[in-house]
Amino acid sequence: MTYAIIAYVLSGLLWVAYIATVLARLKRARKDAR
Amino acid sequence: MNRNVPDWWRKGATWLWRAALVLVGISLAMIAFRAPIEAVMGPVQKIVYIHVPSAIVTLLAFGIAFAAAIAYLATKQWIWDAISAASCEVGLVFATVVMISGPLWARSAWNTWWTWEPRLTTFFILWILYAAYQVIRASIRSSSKRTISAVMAIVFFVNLPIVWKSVEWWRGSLHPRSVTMTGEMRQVLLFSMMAWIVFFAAVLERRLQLEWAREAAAREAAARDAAPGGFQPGAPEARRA
Repeated sequence: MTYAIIAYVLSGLLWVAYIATVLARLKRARKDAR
Repeated sequence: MNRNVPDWWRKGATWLWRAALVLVGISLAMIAFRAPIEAVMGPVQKIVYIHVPSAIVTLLAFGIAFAAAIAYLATKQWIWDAISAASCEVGLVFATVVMISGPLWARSAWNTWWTWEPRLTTFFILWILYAAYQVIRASIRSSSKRTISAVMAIVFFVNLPIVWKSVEWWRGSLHPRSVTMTGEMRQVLLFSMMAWIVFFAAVLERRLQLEWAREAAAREAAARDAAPGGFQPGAPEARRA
């Protein structure tokens, strides 16, 4: 059970971190395009 | 070129994100409360509901990158390169989820974190190749960046059928050739696959917006440099930069 929870939590954290980087890069690119 | 995507795109993206988050939420609830506990492995078997859909979406993402790369080489339109690059990046995140969940499954099922059996080895090579794609693409500053990226997306795709067929082509595979699931397990797995495919589409859309904004920024910069009194090599501004 512990391994299953670790798998889901780590996957969730990875997605949150990745989407945060995409949004941050998007914000900077839009600023550059002004 | 507008730095933001068109209105119809933005409205569609909002609905896509809502659908993706609701579907992933429902799939997680189904995994927790609806999927039965497997008799031999116990609750740890529920890793399969994120491992298998992520693996399928990885193949889908790299397949899209491959097709878009061919379209770019045929047409030389930037949007195909954008789709290919975005799909490679999002696919790599799904592949990383597979690489995280796999060893956690293996520890319970095979009593080892890692073993060099055919499916694991070929998938690991796949992960390395597409990670290398990101590094190489980011390091190219010349005008041939898009062409080189497209060639990589096409060449690296050759490994996908090898990953898929590895359990049949080599002996000693711990992965089963096929899995037969019935009843609620099958329902939950299929629903999870559908949810993660929609989630992939939503993340890909946002990543494409990034490529759109970068293209707009590049065109703005080119237009400024081309304008009278614009960027001049050797001018004080250029030296400061």
